[in-house]
This record gives sequence, C-alpha cells and structure tokens, in this order.
Amino acid sequence: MNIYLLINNKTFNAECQPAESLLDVLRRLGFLSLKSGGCVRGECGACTVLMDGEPVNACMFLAVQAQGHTLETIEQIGQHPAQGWKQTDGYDPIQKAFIESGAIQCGYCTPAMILAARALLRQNPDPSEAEVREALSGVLCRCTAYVKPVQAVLNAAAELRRAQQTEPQETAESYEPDILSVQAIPETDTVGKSEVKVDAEKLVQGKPAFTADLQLPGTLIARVLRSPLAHAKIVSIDTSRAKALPGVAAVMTWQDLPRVVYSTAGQSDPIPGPLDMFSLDNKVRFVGDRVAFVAAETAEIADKALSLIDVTYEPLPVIIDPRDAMKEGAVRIHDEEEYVNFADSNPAINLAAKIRIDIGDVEKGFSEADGIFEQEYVVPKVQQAHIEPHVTLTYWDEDDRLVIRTSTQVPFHVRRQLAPVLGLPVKRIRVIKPRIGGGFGNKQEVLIEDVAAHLTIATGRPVLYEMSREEEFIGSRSRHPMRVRMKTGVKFDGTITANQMTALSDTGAYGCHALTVTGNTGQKSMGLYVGDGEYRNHPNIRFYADIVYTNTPPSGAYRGYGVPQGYWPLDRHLDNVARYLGMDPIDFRLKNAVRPGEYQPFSTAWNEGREPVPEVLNTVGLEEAAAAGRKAIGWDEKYGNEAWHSIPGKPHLRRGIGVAMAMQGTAIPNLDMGGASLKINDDGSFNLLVGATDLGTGSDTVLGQIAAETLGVALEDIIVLSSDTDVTPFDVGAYASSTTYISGWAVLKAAQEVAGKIRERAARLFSAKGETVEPDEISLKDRHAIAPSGARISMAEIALDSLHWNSQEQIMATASHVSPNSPPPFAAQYATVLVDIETGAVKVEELIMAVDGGVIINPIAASGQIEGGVAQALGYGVSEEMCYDAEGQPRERDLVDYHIFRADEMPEIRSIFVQTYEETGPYGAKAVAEIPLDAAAPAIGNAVMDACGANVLANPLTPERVWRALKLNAERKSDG
Amino acid sequence: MMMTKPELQYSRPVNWDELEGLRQEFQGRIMYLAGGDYHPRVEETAAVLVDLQDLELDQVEFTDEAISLGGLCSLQQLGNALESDDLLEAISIEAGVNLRNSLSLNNYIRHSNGRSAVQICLNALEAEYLLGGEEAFQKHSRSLKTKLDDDFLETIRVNQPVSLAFASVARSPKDQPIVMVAVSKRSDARFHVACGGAESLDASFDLYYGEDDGISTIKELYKDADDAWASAEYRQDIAAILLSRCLQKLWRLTNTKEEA
Repeated sequence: MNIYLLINNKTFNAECQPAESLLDVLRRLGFLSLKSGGCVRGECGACTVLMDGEPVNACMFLAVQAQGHTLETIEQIGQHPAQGWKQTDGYDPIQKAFIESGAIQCGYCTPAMILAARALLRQNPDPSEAEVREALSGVLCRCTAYVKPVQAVLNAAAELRRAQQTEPQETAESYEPDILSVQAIPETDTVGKSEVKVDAEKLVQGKPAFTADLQLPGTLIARVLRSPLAHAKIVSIDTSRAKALPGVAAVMTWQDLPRVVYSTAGQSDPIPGPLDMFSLDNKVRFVGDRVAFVAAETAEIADKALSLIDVTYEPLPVIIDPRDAMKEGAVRIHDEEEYVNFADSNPAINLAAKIRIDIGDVEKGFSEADGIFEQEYVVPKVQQAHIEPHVTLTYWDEDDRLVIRTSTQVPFHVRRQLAPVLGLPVKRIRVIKPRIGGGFGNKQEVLIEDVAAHLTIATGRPVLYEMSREEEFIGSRSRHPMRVRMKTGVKFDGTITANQMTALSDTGAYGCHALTVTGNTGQKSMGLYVGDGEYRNHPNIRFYADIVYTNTPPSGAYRGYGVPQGYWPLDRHLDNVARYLGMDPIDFRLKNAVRPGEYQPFSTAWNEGREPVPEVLNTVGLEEAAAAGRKAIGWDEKYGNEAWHSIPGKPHLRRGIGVAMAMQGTAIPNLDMGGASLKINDDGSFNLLVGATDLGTGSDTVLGQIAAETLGVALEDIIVLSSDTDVTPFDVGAYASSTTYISGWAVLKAAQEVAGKIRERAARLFSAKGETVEPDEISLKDRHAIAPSGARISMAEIALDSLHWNSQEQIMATASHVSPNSPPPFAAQYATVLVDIETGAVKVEELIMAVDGGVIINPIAASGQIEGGVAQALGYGVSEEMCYDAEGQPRERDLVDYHIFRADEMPEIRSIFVQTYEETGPYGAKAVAEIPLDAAAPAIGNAVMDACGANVLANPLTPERVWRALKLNAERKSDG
Repeated sequence: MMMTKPELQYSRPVNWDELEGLRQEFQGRIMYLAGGDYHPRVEETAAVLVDLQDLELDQVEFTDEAISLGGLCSLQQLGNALESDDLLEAISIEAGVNLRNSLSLNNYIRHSNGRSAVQICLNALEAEYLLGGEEAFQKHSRSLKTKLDDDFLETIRVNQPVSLAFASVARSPKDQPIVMVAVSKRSDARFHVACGGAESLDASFDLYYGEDDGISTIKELYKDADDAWASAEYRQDIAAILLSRCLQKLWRLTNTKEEA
C-alpha cells in the first residue's frame, strides 16, 4: 500500500506492506539513525523517534499507524557546520554538548538519547537532573552509565537558556574527571587532553556508520533455527517445506556443509583452547544451539521458513550443574571424533581445560598461619548486553573475494579463523569492521560471520544476519559462572601467609576462552596479594581450576575476562578476614598488596597457556588510589559510625560502606601485537591506519592523539582509519586491555619514524634558507617544524616539498609492537548502600573508583570507560544473572527479565585517576578499560555486610539472598 | 517478494458505524490496531487491519464518580489522569518514558501478568473494563485478556477518589518486582488488596478496617508462589511486610488529607 509520512517537516511517499513496522519503513527511507536492539518488548529504545513531539519506539508501531502524525528523527536536527562552499547552521546545542562531554561511546543509542532530550527541553527548558534522568529512561545505554549524557543534557539546557537570554552567563559544568598525579608527568600538548572523539561528529548525527546501515541491493535476510532442547542428537531434518516457500533462497543444515572443526574464540594462533565446534552439527548441546540456516527475501519469509523446518531430535541426558559434569557416568557432551584437544582438555570427562598453579609453598604458608579461613563463593553467568546485537553483512566483491562487514572486535582473527571453515584462502576474504554498537568481549568471538558467509556462498547474494535480543541471550556468549573456594592463612597482625583459590568454572557447551578466562580469574586477582614482610619475596599462592562442559550456552569473553569472577570471592573473603581480625579493611588489603619493584607473582608461573614472562611491577598506584577514594567517599566519617549507618525514623533501613581493590592486566605479554601505518598528505595532515578495533572505547581517538603529539599537530590533522583487513596493518583486536598500550606503541613508533623524516626534510629546508640545523635539534609543534632559533616551517610546506618539490618521497612509516610486559592497572573501589533489612532489598547509593591507569591519554574518554564499566559491575553486584532450569531452559530472553540499569535508577558514579608514569607504556600509559568491572560487586557486597551483617556469598545480591543471610544471622543469634 | 497476503487490507474507521460495517464484512478476520504494541505482528488469519486511532479512544473523562480512559490512552496518560504518586511509581517501574508514550492501555492489559506493576495497581483500584461493542463493564480476569486477542479495549474506568498505596521489592529500583502489593481505600472501612510479583499470580482480596490485618490471607495467597525469581517462603514473608507498609501509607495519606 501507499502511505504518506510526515518526517522532519517533509512528506514522504512510501510503498509498504500494511504489516511493516515503522522502524523498518523509516530505515528503508534512509533514516538509518534509528537502530534496532533486536528487542520485542520495546525495552532498548534505540529506535526512538519523536511522534507528535513525544519520544516513542518506532518498533512498536506499524508504519501505517504513523500516517497523520509528525515524525522527527535526528537527521533534521543538526549537521556538520562546514560542508565545502556550503555553510550550515551546525549542530544543535544538545548535539554539541554530547560531542564535548564525551557522552558518546559506541554511539548506537546516541540519536535516541538526543531525541529524548530534545523532547524534554521543549517542554521543560530548565530541568533538574532527576527530570533529565527520567527523560532518558526509555533509552538503554550499556557504555556510559548515563553520567555524561545526563551532564550533556543539563549543559545543553543551560546553553539554550543563555541563548534565549533567560539566564545570565555562567560557566558550564566541567566534564573533566579528577586527576591526581603521584609521579612527575612530562608536559604534553595533545596527550593528556580531553580531545573530542574522532568519531563523535558522525555518531551525533546518526550517520550510517554501523554494519547494518549499508543497504546493498538484493540483500537476503538470514535466520537461524535454534534448538529447543539442551542436549540431543538430530535424527532427521526435513527442509522441503521451507525450501518450497516462495522467497526462500537457501536452507542449510549440517548435511550441506563441510565438517570443519574450529573454535569461535577470537584469539591468536594457535587458539589456546579445544577445537570443538562446527558451523552446523548433527548434535545440539544447549537450548539455542544452531540447527539450520535460512536466507530469504525478507525477515518475515525467513521467520516463516524456520517454522517449516521439521526436525526430529533424540533427547540425551542433560548436565546443567557444573558439579555434575565430571561425575562418573555423566553423559559426554563432546563425542565428535574431530575434537582437537588443547593442553589438559579431556572431552571424555567433560573437561575443557584444567589449571594448576603453585607459587611458593602453600602448605608451609598455611602451617605458619595463626588462623585459616575457608569459604565457598558463587559467581553467576551474566551477559554483555551490548545494545547493537551481533550483525554481519557478507557479499562477493567484483574480484570474487568475500567481504565480511561485521560488528567484531577481532577482524583479523575472523579472517584467519573463518578461512578453513568457508573453504577459502585468507587472501580471498576481506573483513571490515565499521562502528560497533558495543561489544564488551562478546564480539571477541567469531560468532555469526560464518552464518552469513555460508549463505552468501550458497546463494551468491549479499546476506545480512542480525541476531535478535533473544538470540543474544540464548545463542551468544556470556561470563563464565564459577564456584570458587577460598582458603587463606593469616597471622594475627594481618599478614597473609598463604592464599588458595580453587575454582570450578562452567564453560557451557563449547570451550571457547575456557582456559584463558579462568586463568585470568586466578592470575589477576590472587596476584594482587602477596602477604607482608618475608612473604613479599616468597608469596605462597595456589590457584587450581577445572573448566567443565555443561548443556548451557557457551561462556566466553566478557570485559574483565575472568577477573571479576576472582574478585567477588577474593575480596569478599578478605573483607571477612579483616573484620574477624578487627582490622581496618583498607589497611589490611594494603598491608598485603603488591608494591612497586615486586614481581606480579603469577608472571613467574602463568601466561595464558604459554611460557611465563616474569615481570617486575614498575608502577603500583594502589595506595594512592585507596587514599583518594577514601577521601572522596568520606570513609573516615562513615566507617564504624553508627549514626551514619542508621536512618532516623526508618528502623528498617541501614546504610553501609564497603571497599574492594583490584588489579587487571595490560595486554598479553609477548603475544598481543598491533601495527600502524602513517603517511603525510599535501596539507600536512596525516592518514593513520591501524588494525586496532575501536568498539566505542575511543581507541581511534587515543591512537590519533599519540600520533598528533609525536608529530606536533592537532588531532584533527590525523585521519584515523581502523580495522579493515585489506587496508590496515594487522592487530590482534580489541581485548585484554591492549589497545592503548600495544597499538599505541605501534602508532608511537610509526609516528617517531615519520617525525624523523620530517625533521630531516625540515633541516634541509632550513639549510636552503641559510640556517644550519641538525634534525634532532628541530622540534615539532603547532603544525610546524621549529628550529632552535625559532624559525618555523609549516607541516604543509614540508608535505608539499616532499610530495612535489624536491627529492620527492612519500613520508610514511609502518611499525608494529609487541611487549614483554603487562603492567597492571590498579584500583580502589568504594560503595555505599542502603539496605532494607526487612525485605533484603539493596539500593546502591554511591560508587567511587580511583584508578591507577598510568598516564591518562584522554581523561574524559577514560573516565567514560570507568563509569560505564562500573555500571556493568553494578549489575553484576545486584541484578544481573542468567539462570536455567533443570532442562536447560533459560530464564532470561530479553532486557526486561535481564534487567540492566536505566538512567533513572543509577547511583552516583565517580571516577578518579591517580596517575603513575609507566615507562614501558606509550607516553606512560597503562590500561583502564577492564578494571572497572572487577571491584564494584565485592565492594557492594562488603557494604551490605557493613550495613546489616548479611554475609552474602553469591552475587548478585538479590533481595532474597540478603534476606536469607539476615535470617541465618537471626537463627544463629537465637541459637546462641 | 513479500509474505504478507496480498488481500490484507488496512482501514482506519472514523466513526463507530464504519467500524461496525467492517466488523460485519470481515467477521473473525479483523486484527485491531489499538495503539502502540510491544512488537506488532499481523496474524496470518487477518484479512483487514483496523486501526482504531480515529475513534477518540485516547480521551480521558473525569466525573465526580469516576475517571474513564479510552483503550488507546498511553500508560503516561493513565499516570497523569489518576494523580497518584504510587501509581506513577508503578508506571515508572514498568516502563521508561518511550514505552510509557508508546504502549496503549489496550496492549498493556493484553500482555500484562502477575509481574506487571500497573496492572496490580489497577486491580487494587478495582478498575473496570469495557470491551469494544459490549455494554457492560467487567473486572480484570484471564478471560478479559483472552478476549482482547480478538477484540479491543474501549474504556477503563476507575472510581473516584483514587487512594492508592503501592510497595514492591526488586533487584534494583526499576526492575520488575518479585513481590508487590497494592492497596486502595474503597470506603471508610474497606480496603482492596492486590498482589503480584509472580507471573501466574492474579489475586486480590478485601480487607475491612478493624477486623483483620490481612497478614494470614496474603501469606496464604503466596503459599504456592514459587518460581525461578523467588521462593514462596520469601514472597509470603515480604508480601506481609509490604501489605503492612501500604496500609500505613494509606493511613498517613488519609490523615494528611483530613488535616488539610
């Protein structure tokens, strides 16, 4: 039917089916700023459009219902001010504020937030923070914790009021985080400054920057038939009815594909884990496992085709509890003959990996202790919940090479790992990563690219596969759940004499990241505490783990990569030990924590399944971070102060305060490698090509800053292009907190080489002008080469000279970097909570994290990383959990049941940077992206303990768990 | 090539006569478009999509006795009309701003269950529902929801004055509650209590001032409310606490109003 839609004050005539959603039609009309979160209960809000001035979800209306209404999208709101000879009005004040504040990380939900803010400010030009939070409550963001978006809207409102002269001029609220330098930090021009993200302007305009925004003619839509059973053999599949459906281009089952075993874990070669997966198999191992692929002309036809595939299953016994996996007689989950072992994996006993690490003499350490504390803790399976689902578009290019445009953190691993699966050589595959709408580790997985690629090979046509939100929950990856037993020996003075962690880790149905995630669990948590005195030189630490298969969705990489699973048991345990000893919890931790000049103890014994690389820690800003956080949270006024803990007139409420400390890693030593290429252009600008993958973190910006600083130009002179396997140098991808440290060094090396060439040419140009200068006497600053005399030659002149005038050459360089070091960032996390001791409900009021991430290259971007990470950790602490019944049916299938925090319920979140200068890092940097995931949950748990004595051993701290812990206390009390 | 059957029609009647004509013509093959829905999907059996938005079903009417809202009113309109802080809190838990603006009451009621906070409040308020073309209002029930698959909600009626208290427990302030209780004061002596927090729970009861504190009744209602989200034991204990809190809140509200 023909409909008319009034969009952005223009009438659009659209041919559509009566059943088409408004979202689909708007995107078809080119309004690609509206995004899909794959949800079916309207929970994400990424498709926000203003209808008659109010924010609504475009997925919740059919297009025909929108006739007669006015629609507004971000496309009409503002645009780049300078477009060649044409000047525009530029950006809207809200867009400007989003750009300047760092409110944009991945940018997937940015247009929706701006529209929601616009609707608010029209009705209420002077909103309170609570009103702004309320206005943004319909748009979920997984990156920012809403801190900077809320600040941006408030500042935009103030700017609008000033523009209308309803308010006197005042200074806008600063977006800069608190930074304390504990070492001398060299002066820099661009590094250390909160430069605007290089992708902010396109994202704030809702430009078609994401994978699904490329609309190729003839594209087929892919769907995957998923298993309803947790464990079964596929006896038969009849696809005849589906194939006969008009509009179906291909239906594929395991019988249609070559049987190539592989791992979906996006890691360097060789994959440090078992190969145990096929694109499609004749067996299903969890509810949600793949059964068949379909490609059709439309999503509706593809969905219908799925319903027409007849599958006969032979159910098998199911293992859901990891404690059952290795029991005698347990059903074997992987019995395929193609299975490839790695290290100690043994599918006969459902063992995906095994870790045994002993440092020092643990038994001796226990024998020297005055007391030994033992306790078991449990950490849950949780989901990354990026708002952009996994999405891939594949097509053959004009050279018969397969192009995979995909939302991935590891484009080079995708190319290498998929080549054998597809039967193509690496050289016939090109992987392009556009902007990503969040990944958080879940896109460190070669998860869906094969689906679209197989269908493109089968049909010869472009294929788009976008997972639904339900598929994200049942068919992607998640954080490994674990049962962890702690045993700690201490002396009465608080010295830890031995520390032992034993973990049972559940990798789910496949062993992706099984070994490496769980290795991190011990390495990065247990490595923080060595003991005091003589134990500092000879710590006694043990970490044992079994990583087992179960019939649940596979676990995988999730920001923090195993470390949060270590800190919940470790830090909750140490807090309890400190309480028992009557020691201040901060003092107790610092007494036993590693210090500068000491070994990271695990570096002597473990390196993700490779040769250990013993590493002495240069920079440990933990003590300073603890002090900064202590002051910011008001620890000394609150801890132990009964008046603060009680609420007058509300005896059922109790306040509590808690602390936790953490150490992460920065890259995998001697393994993670990044490359960078840099070349000069005629105007003195530069193209920076990096293989590194910006998944919303701002790494393109940070890498650009490193180049700009080294070359003495502005960031705007660095044109960053990243993550295209045909164009950019190799990089392992975005994981292990490696990008700034590893790829940053590659950029620094390339920039230093280019700077050297610029200096040489500048010296010749100075000489031609009669001034003799040695190249190394020339400084590069303010887009000029500057001689000691102050004489200057512009970068543009140097570029023209090199490209056109004299001894022409392309000034360029390519460099790569791999490091023997992995200097850890450190953090102190503080939390205050309000506990309803009658119901067990926990309300987190404040979360303050003080971080030593070395020199902070971009403070606003880095603080955004901390805030967003802490918000995810907040969910890990109180609300997020994936559960399965005895048959393996999942409890969570959407973002309603799997609740992530909204803007209008966030606690106050603050970040503080304690700068050390890490000599092995580019401009002194370490990492910040993952450490915020580590300590919030235990800090909250410790705060709950402080509030009411509820010693909750499993996270999240659900009301019932707190209530049961309180009840246990009461029972013990009554028992005397 | 599209899956949608070519004969599927779309109509937007502007009056009830036109609607009636469509009903006669397409008996049993109508799918009503009654405002925004979670994920609008067209039934394969539908021959016509009848869009109700021009029938003024998004209007709110106030009388001394009752507040009436059309079935195409949004959750936000419901909150604005009833002027109850506790209802607004329930709406806020149920939905962020977009959803509140997008979702019609018709579709909210159709999809609601025992974990739907606003529905529990409406149950406590003893809201009454009028389906399209019917003459008699009815109370909320499973059969009402079943009927909404083939019919639409014309009006929701809530008797004045609106005196409501709502209390809930969840993992976070805006998470779906695992236990919730709503109580409305219906007269000087009668309170109506609605319980929720478990998907299958659909229970309410009257409480008379001075006769019973309702604790044993509410515990009995939750005795089998055991699911993946919480145990019955927990819910029984907490529901009793929430009931007590709601009654105290209503008592305070009443006193405040009387003092005013």
